[in-house]
Amino acid sequence: MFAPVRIVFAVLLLGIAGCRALDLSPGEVTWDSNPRGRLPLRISGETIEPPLTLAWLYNAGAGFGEGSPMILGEIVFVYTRKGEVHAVEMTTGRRRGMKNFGDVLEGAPVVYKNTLVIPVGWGRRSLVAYDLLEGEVRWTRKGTPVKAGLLPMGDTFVAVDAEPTLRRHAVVDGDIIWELPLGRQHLVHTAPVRVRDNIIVADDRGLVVAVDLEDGARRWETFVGSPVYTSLAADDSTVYVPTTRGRLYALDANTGTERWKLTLPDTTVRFTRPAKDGDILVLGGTDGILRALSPASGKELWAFRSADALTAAPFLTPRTIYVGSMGGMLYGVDRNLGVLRWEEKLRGRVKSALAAKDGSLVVLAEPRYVYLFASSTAEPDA
Amino acid sequence: MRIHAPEYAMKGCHAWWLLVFLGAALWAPPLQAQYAFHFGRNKIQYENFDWHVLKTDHFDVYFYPEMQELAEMGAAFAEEAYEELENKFNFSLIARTPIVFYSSNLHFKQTNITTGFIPDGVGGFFEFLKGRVVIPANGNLHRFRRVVRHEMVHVFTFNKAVRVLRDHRIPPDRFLPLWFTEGLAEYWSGEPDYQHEMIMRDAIFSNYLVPLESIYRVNGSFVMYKEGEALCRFLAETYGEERLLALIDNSWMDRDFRKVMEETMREEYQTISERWQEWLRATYYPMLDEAEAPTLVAGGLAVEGFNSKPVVYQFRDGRRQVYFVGNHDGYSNVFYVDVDSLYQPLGRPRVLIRGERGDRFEAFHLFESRLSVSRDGHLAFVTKSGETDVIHTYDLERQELGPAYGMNHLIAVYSPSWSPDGKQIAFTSIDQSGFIDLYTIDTETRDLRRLTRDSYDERDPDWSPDGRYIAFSSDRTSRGKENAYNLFTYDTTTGAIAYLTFGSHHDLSPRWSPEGDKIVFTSARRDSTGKFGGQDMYVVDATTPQPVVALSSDTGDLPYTYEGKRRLRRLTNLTTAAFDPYWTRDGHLLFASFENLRFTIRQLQDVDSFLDAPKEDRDVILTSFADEKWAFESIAADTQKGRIRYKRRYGLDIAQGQISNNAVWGTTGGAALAFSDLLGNDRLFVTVFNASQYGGDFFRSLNVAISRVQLHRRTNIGYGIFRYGGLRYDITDPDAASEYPRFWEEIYGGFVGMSYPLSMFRRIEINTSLSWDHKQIPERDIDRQAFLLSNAVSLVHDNALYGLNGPIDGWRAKLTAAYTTDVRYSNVNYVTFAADIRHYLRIGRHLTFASRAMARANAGREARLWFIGGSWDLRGFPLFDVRGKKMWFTSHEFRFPIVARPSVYLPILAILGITNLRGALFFDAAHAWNDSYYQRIPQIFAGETLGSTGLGLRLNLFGGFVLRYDVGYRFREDFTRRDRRLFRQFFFGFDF
Repeated sequence: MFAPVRIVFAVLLLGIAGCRALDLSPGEVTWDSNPRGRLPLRISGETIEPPLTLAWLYNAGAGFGEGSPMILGEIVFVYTRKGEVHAVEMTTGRRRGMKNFGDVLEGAPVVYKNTLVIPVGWGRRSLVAYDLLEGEVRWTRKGTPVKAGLLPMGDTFVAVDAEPTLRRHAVVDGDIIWELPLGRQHLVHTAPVRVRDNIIVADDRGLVVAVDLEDGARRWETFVGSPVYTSLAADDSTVYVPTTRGRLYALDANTGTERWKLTLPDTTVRFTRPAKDGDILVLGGTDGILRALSPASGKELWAFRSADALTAAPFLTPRTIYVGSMGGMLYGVDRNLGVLRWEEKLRGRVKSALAAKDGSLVVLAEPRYVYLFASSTAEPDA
Repeated sequence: MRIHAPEYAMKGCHAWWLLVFLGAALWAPPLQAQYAFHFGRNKIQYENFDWHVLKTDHFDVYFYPEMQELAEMGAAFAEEAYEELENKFNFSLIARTPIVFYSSNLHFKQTNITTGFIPDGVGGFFEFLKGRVVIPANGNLHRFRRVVRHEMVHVFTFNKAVRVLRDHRIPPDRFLPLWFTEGLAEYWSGEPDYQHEMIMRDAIFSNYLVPLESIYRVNGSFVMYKEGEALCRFLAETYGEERLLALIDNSWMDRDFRKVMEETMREEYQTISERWQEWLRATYYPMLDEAEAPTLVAGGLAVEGFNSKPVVYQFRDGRRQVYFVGNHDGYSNVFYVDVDSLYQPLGRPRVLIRGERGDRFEAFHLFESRLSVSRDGHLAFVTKSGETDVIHTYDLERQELGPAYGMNHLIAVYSPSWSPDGKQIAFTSIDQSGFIDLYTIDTETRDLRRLTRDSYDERDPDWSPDGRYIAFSSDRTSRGKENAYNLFTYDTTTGAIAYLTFGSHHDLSPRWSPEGDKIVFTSARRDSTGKFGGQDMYVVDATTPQPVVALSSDTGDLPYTYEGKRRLRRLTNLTTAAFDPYWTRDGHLLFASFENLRFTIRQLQDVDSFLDAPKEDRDVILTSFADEKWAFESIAADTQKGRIRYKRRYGLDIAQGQISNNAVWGTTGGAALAFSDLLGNDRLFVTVFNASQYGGDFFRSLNVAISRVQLHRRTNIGYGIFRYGGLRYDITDPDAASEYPRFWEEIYGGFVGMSYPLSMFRRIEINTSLSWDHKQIPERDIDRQAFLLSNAVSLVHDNALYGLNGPIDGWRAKLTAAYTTDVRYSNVNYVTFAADIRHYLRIGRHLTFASRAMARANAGREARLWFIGGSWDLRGFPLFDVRGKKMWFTSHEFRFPIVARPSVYLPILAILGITNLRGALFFDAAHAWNDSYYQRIPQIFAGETLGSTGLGLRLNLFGGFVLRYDVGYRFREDFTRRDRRLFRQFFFGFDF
């Protein structure tokens, strides 16, 4: 082979390899910037006021699961159903790195210090831990795939696999701290939520189970009677269980007793994962209605009707609620009145939860795009 | 129907095979090769539809003004289904879905959205290319609504499945199994109807249920639809309804759907199958305690094939014959069987009216239209004849056809019933609007009288013996919105319509008793679990004075005032179903029954004995219901963006390209594009191909063909232009070397073709082309130019019936005359005559003797050569190597089954989708010559009679691809010499 050809080939190889690596410079990842550290997902303390303008558009190469993208420092991490994690610069929308971790990534990863733990939704591996600074895999656990997102708990995390078995792992080496089989034939599609010292999950027949955070012992279980396919939401005392049969249950997180339930006449409506902030609980439905409820009573505060089904969790900011639709629309709805403030047509359906930082909103949409919308009027939360 | 380019444009262009195949793949008529002698029936555009578009929130609804009211209902059905399915699928459609409505099945058969023929019973279809949904109405709004919903499920399933694969970056080249997509569409279309229950009960009781692991054996069959529906219901009830959607969501996991099922259901595939069978047995076995199989309670009159709609006539000489519509061998006919006084058959059924072979009796509505016999022995029956259905009469005493009654504005006609005096016929019919109503026609004056005018579904009229009332079945009951059918009477003197039965049942097919005091009918009713039980025969008393009106056709909702009751007795308790009972004058019942997947004609002797000991005896209370007119919602075209007239816009159907390289032809490549409008009426084909062997040769070897085919009128028209150029290998050129006919030729030109269907079975084709032709053959010092005009006319007949490997019955023929001349240089001037006749003699059900006779001649200056040889015609000789300007050829085959039934399970072959293995004993003979019949030209086998005889095997793969293997002896030199060695030939293609 001629020398120039070799050089070109080597440069190309290096270029490709560079693009494939997923490693970040020290100092770029700050644990404090992880929104999970301060606020529950789907809530931003910053006002993100419409109209939003498109800052950049990134092609991630494949579709996305239900979970939201993850913002660490100035990097947006998105994980795809092709098994790739993309690191995108928040300011420019350029790819910072990309790595393929398995067949399918459906659920949200967790980060502790420099370690990214990724649930793998198909294949022989179930969890992969990756050092973001060193750019290397720290450990891998084989076994049943994990489709649902992980629940971060400091230097540990909780995962539920497809069997389904609930496990608490250590981030540093993936060792199992405790595990609890939840019974075969029934699947868990929901990421676990934590309410004080309880870990709560629900399965696709409608059984909601609370276990002890420390030892995995069952605390209580409640059968709501409707399948649960989207993740739960919780505050300090209540867990909100969305179902696929037009029912939303609010259960006492300590006892599992029902506090109230929302019952729609149409039993084919599937609810999205709710978002709760203060005195408002918001969730969408496949009937296209975004509902704001009182978290205490379940009373409907307002309803906003979109043209198409809502399957992605809404995102709450102090004044505006953002939600993407299966019709490819991104809506900004007044938080107090439930009226449309702003809308934008995207290239495809929105099936994933949103994320935000510094007055910008990250949206995942079909077929494979990451949008960053910026607000020109972002201001600190009062 | 196809448009064919003129002979000249089609002449053998072997160097352009790739181009030809590309074009042929796109159904590009001008590029079809000479040897492809096309037959085929005609899809005739009888109507010149004035298409309009109704835009709803999610759909573009295409309709014609005559059926606007129905289209508005259909639009509402589609939006209603969308709202529900959006929830079930957890999915929204981003693109608008085009829905094309037709007001009747006969109009639906004319659609060009699919080029295939649409048989009776097809409720609609969804096609993938443009995402179009095509649905006909059939007079029954409930069925229309269900079909709309069914097709909407397909739309959602397809879009969701494609989306799932693309999300995972998997090419959308895998398909969900048909049992699942159709089963889901049925399951999510509504609750199981009585036909579903009938099929599933029968499958369990008659033990032909196909387990999940081998359901591919019945792929595409009615049984598969119903089993698929039952499977989806079982999966939903056992594992949760959401798991059905999860099957689509998980379809990316594996190409093998069995693994997707195991992953989704968390259970072994075999276990799922076994649990499903147990679930079915637990569901249906308890019914066996009380129910009786039709074969155990009633004697059979016609038990082979599919049979329905029995009637009887007693001749003046005392003979009795039972008549019915049946399909025993692929064609539907009216049959008769002689019976004795107890209605025991005195022989096998015989054909009275041969259907589906000619223009007059184009097609029977086998399960939809009853027969009727007048008191003086005139049989009335309905067939499709041209653009509409026609009522035919047949004089049974004289054994000759009587008058026929066709009504231009009435499209579909069902179930004629003679008045007692034989002067009128009552029937139901669908007009251009798509609604079905009750009519009578005077057989002498042909005056037509419309008795109802509304959106209700009227069925199966039967004239009372006293001539005053017409009993019929209808959903005009106040329970009609729940898809209930009850019996009514129409008073011909007052026009009043009155209830005979009432309730949420399917009361169908009423027939008066000879005395006119009772009516026998069939009814499917729900049991205590909500499921439909067997469809049984009931008798309701009709002696009570006819009460005042139920739903008046004219006023809509007059209050029901009659208070009373009628005695109702149930005669049977069948495991499956009875259809179309007929009360004979001597007190017996004839009926059709379904059992073991067959429809048979049976008789129940002595009705009185059944009335004396009924299975159930109760009163129909006719007082407790409110008589309100019901109607479905609709979306008014005028309140939307307006009724928009359809504008033709072309959209891409297929684009494909190909590049090949070989030592002889170098690198060649091309592309073919096909465009059509949304209704498929107007098609454009563009083919570009280059066969250059070096760079400087590029433009000389550039081949371009553009053609347009218009199918929206009865006369199909095609025209186009073409430029062919380059080195060619053409075995039909008389100037080229016989051993290796390769030369340079360049042709520019255009063509026009027309095809006029005389009927479904016959057409005339006229083609003309004008082209400039420059041919160079340096080896023979030929440099010839010509300005060619070519005209051809053909007459085509085809009524052949196809089996899986080719035709099995009927005949087809094509006669062609053509004249090709060089209008400028006089270098070319020849005439063409060609005849090809093929006849298929059915010997029994599975045996066919096929014969073919062909003669072709080109005579004149530069007359081209014909060619045969190979597995498709003259077996034992190399493909296309027998050539001559004139030739005759004959072939005879005795075709027989080896593995006749798909149910014969060959584990190795079954995986390949093998459904039919047949054999053929064959004899072929041919003679080709140029100037003199006996002038031998060995290079092209001319001047001697050749032939072959032997045995062949035919194997159908996947229902659409036939492998052929022939073994035999070759004969040469006028059959005086036989080759010592056997020849063996392996190829593909259907039987001739």
